[in-house]
Amino acid sequence: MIQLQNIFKWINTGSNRVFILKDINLEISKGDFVSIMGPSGSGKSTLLNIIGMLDQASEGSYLFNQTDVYALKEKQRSQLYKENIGFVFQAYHLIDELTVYENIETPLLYHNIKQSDRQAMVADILDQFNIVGKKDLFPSQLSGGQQQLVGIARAIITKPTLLLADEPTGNLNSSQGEEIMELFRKLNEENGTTIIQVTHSEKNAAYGKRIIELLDGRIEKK
Amino acid sequence: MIRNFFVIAWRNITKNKIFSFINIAGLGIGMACTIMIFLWVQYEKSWNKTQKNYDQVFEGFSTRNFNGELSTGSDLMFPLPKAAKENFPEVEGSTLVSYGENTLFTVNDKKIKRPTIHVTNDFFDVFTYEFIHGDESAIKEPNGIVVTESTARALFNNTDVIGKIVELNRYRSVTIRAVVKDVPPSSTLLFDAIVPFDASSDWVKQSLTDWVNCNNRAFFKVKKGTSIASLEQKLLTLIKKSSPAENPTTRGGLLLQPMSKWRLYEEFRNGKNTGGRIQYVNLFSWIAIIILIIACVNFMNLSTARSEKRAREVGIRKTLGSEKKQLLLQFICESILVSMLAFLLAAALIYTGLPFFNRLLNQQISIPYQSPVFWLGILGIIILTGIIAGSYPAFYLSAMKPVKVLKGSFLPGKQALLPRRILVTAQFAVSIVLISATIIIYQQIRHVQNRDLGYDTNNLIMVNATGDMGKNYEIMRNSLLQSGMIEAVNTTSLPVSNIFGFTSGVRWAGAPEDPNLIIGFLGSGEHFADIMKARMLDGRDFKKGDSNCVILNKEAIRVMKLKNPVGSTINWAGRERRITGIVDDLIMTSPYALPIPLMLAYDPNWIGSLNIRIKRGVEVKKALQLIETIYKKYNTEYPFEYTFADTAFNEKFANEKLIGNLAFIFASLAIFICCLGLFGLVSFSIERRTKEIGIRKILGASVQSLLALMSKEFLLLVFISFAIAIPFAWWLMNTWLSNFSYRIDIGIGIFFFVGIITLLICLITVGLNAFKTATANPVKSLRTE
Ligand SMILES: Nc1ncnc2c1ncn2[C@@H]1O[C@H](COP(=O)(O)OP(=O)(O)O)[C@@H](O)[C@H]1O
Ligand SMILES: [Mg+2]
Repeated sequence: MIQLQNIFKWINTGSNRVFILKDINLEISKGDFVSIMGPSGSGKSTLLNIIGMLDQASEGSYLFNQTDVYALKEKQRSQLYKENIGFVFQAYHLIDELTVYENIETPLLYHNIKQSDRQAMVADILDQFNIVGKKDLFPSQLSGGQQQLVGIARAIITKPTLLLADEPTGNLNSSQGEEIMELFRKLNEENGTTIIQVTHSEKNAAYGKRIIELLDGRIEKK
Repeated sequence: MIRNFFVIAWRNITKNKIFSFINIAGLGIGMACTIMIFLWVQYEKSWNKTQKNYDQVFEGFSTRNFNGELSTGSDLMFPLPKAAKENFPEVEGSTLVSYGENTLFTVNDKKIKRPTIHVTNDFFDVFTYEFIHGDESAIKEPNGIVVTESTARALFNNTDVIGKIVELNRYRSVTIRAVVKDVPPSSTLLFDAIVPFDASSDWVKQSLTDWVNCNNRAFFKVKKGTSIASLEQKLLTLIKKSSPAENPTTRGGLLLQPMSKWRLYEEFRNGKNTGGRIQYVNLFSWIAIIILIIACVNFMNLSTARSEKRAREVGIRKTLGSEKKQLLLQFICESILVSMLAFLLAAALIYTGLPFFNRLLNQQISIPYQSPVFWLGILGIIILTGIIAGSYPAFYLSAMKPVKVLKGSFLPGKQALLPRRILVTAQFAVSIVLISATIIIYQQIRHVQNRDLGYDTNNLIMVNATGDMGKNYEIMRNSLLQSGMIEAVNTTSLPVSNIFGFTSGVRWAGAPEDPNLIIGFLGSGEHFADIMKARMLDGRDFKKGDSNCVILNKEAIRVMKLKNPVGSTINWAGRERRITGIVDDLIMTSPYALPIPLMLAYDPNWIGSLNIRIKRGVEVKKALQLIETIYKKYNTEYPFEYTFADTAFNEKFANEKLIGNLAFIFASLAIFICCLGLFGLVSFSIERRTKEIGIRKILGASVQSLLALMSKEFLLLVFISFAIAIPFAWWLMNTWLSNFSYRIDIGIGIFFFVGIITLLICLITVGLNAFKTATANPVKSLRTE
C-alpha cells in the first residue's frame, strides 16, 4: 500500500540545512497495524504527515497504491487523500463551534454525501461509539477521552483505508487509552483498516502488528 | 454544506461580540452612506425624466465675450425659436420661456403670489405635462393660461376651474383654460402657472423683431438623429443674418445643451461645458464607496489579526478532506452573512437618516420600495460588500497549511502584519484627507463671508416695489424716517443683492475700440451710497434734483480706462450722462468672483426695489411692522414682500455650505469607522500581549510606559498616513480652491491642527483599550496562562 524510498526531509534555517528525516525506506502493506516510536523530536510526526500527504518530503519517492504521489497534481492528490486517509490527533482538533454531531458530519459534506445518508451514517457511528447522548454538546463540554472518541468517529466515518493517529492517547489516562486501542484493534481486524499510530507507550505500541523505532530521523530497527 | 457554513458563521458572529459589533457597525454605516448617496445620485439623474421628449429637447446657450472673459448664458432673443422652426426642418418644435417670476394672482378678495413662467404659445410643442382639465390648446388663446392643481386649489379650492377669470399683477385679466398636475420638484422648469406672453403689450410687440436684446430662454425640440453641431452653426448663422449690427452675441458661439445635461452639467467656462453639479455627485459617490471600503478593510484587518483561531479550523477541515475552494466559499459565506446583518443596520440608519439628509440637501429623495432595480442594487451591494470584505481573509486563511497550523506553536496573526499595516495606514490617510478637506472648505466659506463687500448687508431690507411707488415715495420715505427706527431709504431698479442688467452700449469721448466692453447697470434714486453704506472714492452720491447722472465703480473706471472721470460725460441709452461720483467696488454678484464693472444710473422713477436700512439697535420685528403699515397705506394693490440683504447674500453660499456639511459628515463617519477598526486591532494585540504586559508590570513598568508600549506601533502608522495624506489633501484642495477667484491660501497650520486631532483620536482609541490592561492586576493575567 505504502512504499517510501530514500525519503529525506530537511528545513533551511539561515544557511544551515537541518535534517529531520534521513533516508527513510519503508513499506507498509494493506491491513497492517504499525506503531511508530521514538523520543521527542525524532521526526515521528513529520513522517506521519508525509505519509498522510499533509507534508511533502524534500527528496525521495512515495508510492501509494502504486501511484507516485509526488507526480500527482494538487487536485488529484487531494482526491487520493480524501478517498483513503483519516487523521486522529493528540490534541483532538475538533471544531469548537460545531456540535459533536456536526463535527462528525463535516467530512461527509466534503465527500458530497446526501443529507439522508449522512444522517444514517452519523447515527450509526454515534451508536457504535456509545455517544448518542452527547451528539448536541459542543467539544468544550466533553472530557478528553470523549473528545478523542469523537475525533476517531470523525476520522473513520468516511471509511478510510488508512488511519493515521499521532499520539492519540497522549492526553488521556490509561483506561481511556486502552479503550481507544481496543477500538483500533477492532477496526484493523474487522474492517481491515490499515493503521499507523505514533505512540510513546510500550503498552499501546504492542497493539500494533509491528513497531518502527525512529531515532534522530532514522529508522533504527524493524 | 452551505447550511453548515452559515451555522458556523452565525456561531462565530455571536461568540466574538466585539469583533462582530465592529464589523457590523462599520459595514452598516458604510452601506448606509453608499445607499443614501446612490439614492441622491439616482434622484439627480432623474431630473426632467418625466418629459416625453427627453431625448429630443435642447436649450440654447450663447457664449459672449465679457471684457475679455468668455461667458456662457442661456439668454437668447425673442424671435429666435420661431425663426428656427420656420427655417430648419430638423427643428420640430421650439419655444421661448421666461426665467420665471413671482406673479400676483387676484380673484375677488384673494391675493396670492405664485411662481410662473411666461411662454410663447408653441410651448407644448416642446414640453409635456399631464393635463387634468383642458389641453395643450389652452395657451393658443391670447389670454388663456394653464395652472397647476395646487394653484387651482389655492385659488378656488377645487380643480374644476376652466373658464375662471384671474387677474395677474393687477393689470392683466386672463382665463384659466387648462389644469395640469403639479410639476415634480426635479424639473428644470418649475412653475405654478404657465402664462403666454401678453401679445398686446408694447414690449412683446417690440421684441418680436428684436434680435439684439436677450432676456429669455429658447428651447428646441429636434428631430432624432439630427447633427447638433451643424444645427448650432445654422442657428448662429441665422442670428448673424438677422441682427442689425455686430454685437457680443453674433461674435460669440451658440451651443445646444441636451435635456439630460441641464441639471448636472450646468457650468460653462471659456465657452465650454465643464460639468457642474456632476462633479460633486461623482465626488461624493466616490467618497461613499471609499467609506464602505474603509469598513471592508476593518473586516479584513480584524479577520486576519484573529486568524489564529480560524487557522486551526482551516487545518482541521483540510485534514477532513476540504478543498481550498470550499474553504474560500465558507469564508465568503461568512462575510456575506456579516454583510447582510450590516444591511439591517444600514436600513435602520437610512430610515432614520433620510429625512435629515433630505433637509440637508434640500431635496425630496424617497426610498423606491416599488422598484425592483433598487432591490437588485441593494442585493448587489450586500453581496459585493461581502465579497470585497471577505475575499482577502478568505484567501489568506484558506491558504493555511494544516501541518503548520495544527502544531499549536504557530501564531498566524503575526503573519500578514505588513498588509494589515498598509491597510490601516491607507484608512487613516483617507480620513486625514477628508478632515483636511472639511476644514479647508469651512475656512473658505468663512473667508468669503467675511469679505469686504464694499457695502453693509446688515439691517438692510429690500421690499418688492413697482413703478407706481414713485407717486407716494416721498411721503412714504418721510414717514419711515420720522419713525426714528429707519436710518435711510432709497429705490433701485432691481434688488441690490445681484446685478441682472448688462450693457455694451456705453460710449464716451476717447473710448477704446473694444467691442467686448460690458458693464453691469442698475437704476437708482438718490442716496445710493448712503443706503448701501458704500464708500465714495471721488465725487458725490446722487441727490434730489439730479438728472442724467451716473456713478461708476472703481472696476468700471479701470476697464473704461477713464482719467479724471468725475464731471466728464458718457452716453448711454440715447442720453448724455454726467459722472457725479466714483464708488468703491461692490460685490453684488458671486462673492467668490472678482468685482465686476458697474454703472449706477440716476432715475428716481425706475423702481423695482425699495431699500430700507433699519437703525442699529432697533428691534427688527417692530421695524418690519412699521414698514408694513406704511407700505400698505400707500400701496393697497401689491402685497408686502421683502428680503433681507444679508439673507440673500448668504444664499450664495448654499452650495458650498452643503458641500462643507457633507464633507464634515463623511469625514466624521470615516474617522469613526477607522477608529472602530483600530480599537479592534489594539484589543487583539493586547490580548496577545497580556502575559508580556503582566511580566513587565511585575518588573516595575509604569502605567505610562505600558501605554506607550502598546500605542507605539499604531501611532507610527498614523504618522506615516499623515505624511502620505497631507500632500494629497493639499493638491486636492488647491484644485478645488482654483474654482474661486476670491479664496484663501492653504496654510501649514491646518495640517498641524488635523495632525493633532487625528493623533488625539487615535490616542483615545488605543488608550480606552490599553488602560484597562495596563492597570490590571498582573497576577490575574499570569494565572490564566
Ligand atoms: N517547520 C519546522 N521548523 C523547524 N523545525 C521543525 C519544523 N518541523 C519539525 N521541526 C523539527 O524537526 C524535529 C522533528 O519534529 P517532529 O516530527 O514533530 O518530532 P516528533 O513528532 O518525533 O516529536 C524536531 O526537532 C522539530 O523541532
Ligand atoms: Mg510529534
